[in-house]
Amino acid sequence: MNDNVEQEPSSNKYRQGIAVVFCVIVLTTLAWFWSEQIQEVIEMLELAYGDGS
Amino acid sequence: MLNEWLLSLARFFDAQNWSTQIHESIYLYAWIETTHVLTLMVFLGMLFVIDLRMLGLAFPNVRASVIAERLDKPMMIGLTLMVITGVLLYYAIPVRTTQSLWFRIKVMLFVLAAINAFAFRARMQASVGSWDTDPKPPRHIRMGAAASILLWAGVVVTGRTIAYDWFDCHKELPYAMYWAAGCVDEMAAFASE
Amino acid sequence: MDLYPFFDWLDTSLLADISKAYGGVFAVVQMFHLLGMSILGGMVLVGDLRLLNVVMKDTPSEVVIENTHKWFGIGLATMVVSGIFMSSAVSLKLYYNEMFWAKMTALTVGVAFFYFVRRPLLSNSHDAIKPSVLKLMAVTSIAIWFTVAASGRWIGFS
Repeated sequence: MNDNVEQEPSSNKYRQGIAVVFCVIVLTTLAWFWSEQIQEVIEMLELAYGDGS
Repeated sequence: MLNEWLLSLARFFDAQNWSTQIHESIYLYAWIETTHVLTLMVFLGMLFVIDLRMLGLAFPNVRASVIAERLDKPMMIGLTLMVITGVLLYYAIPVRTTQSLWFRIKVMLFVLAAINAFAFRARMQASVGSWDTDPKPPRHIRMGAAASILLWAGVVVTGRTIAYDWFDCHKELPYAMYWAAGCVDEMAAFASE
Repeated sequence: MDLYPFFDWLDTSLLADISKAYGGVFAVVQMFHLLGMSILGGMVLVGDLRLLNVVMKDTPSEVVIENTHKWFGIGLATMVVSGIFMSSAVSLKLYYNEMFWAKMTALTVGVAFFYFVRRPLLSNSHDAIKPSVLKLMAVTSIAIWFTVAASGRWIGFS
């Protein structure tokens, strides 16, 4: 098992911070990307199967 | 005779409204197919971890029985999803699928892979105590794992080639191929020449 | 950085001659792409599901994660090589395909995440890492690779 944490507690905290920031940015971007895709699908379905109005 | 029966079954499904709905829907077929392919990561993913352990190529410091037991449930969840989506894909385009040489080979390889898996499980459970912590299991276990990987690779590639029309019934093929693919009408036409 | 020259070159390369001419070869290479995906996906899932405490709870998460690295790399390399081969067959079409670029972006992020964020952090003892951070990384990892796979498949439909 790694004893890095005993020797470098601050670098571990730093890495955790970077990881959290990275994850939040990525998840936000993915949420945006997928909501765009879902929006496109809904529009296509409305066009194809819409109530003809 | 089997070919005739399979074709009538396929035509029976083909005539059903839901079959047409899935086939002609803008997205449904694509989503079912995408789920089928992506679930490979779950089913084959877990299976590969297990088989690689059984070949002594991965997770050497974890007990083989632990890998096999703990990953069994997610693997079965993956398999269930693949079978459900697979059946739906067949149901959406039943005639062409039934008469696809690649689909038939895929099903046969699937059955062989299942037989290998059951035999493997039995062999593993019978002997695991003696080699559980060995990084490299005994030869017969490694052979079973290698066979598993080869058979499933076969299932994957034949699944992919279903989409190609090289041996479709409407092509000019030798009689033996018509028989193998179950091109019943084309076989009858051949015979009447 | 305009990558058009690369795609143009790829379109008329020897690789493209082979991939366009032989459907059988293409299918076999695609099989390797799918098998590579299964290995990569399997290693990612086993690691992430362990971090989420869903599978292999009786094995230390450090051991599980460490063991996934080698085959993750092999799976990734297989996918990149087979991916380039397959891309050569439809190179210019891909250049103009939105889903292709979405996939490449997600793939780049996934690889960067794996090698520069996740792996260095997880090489420490996991007890020293906040459980919420471990779970956040697992969820992000699954989300990225799902996006790579889904957008990848959707290229074929767009």
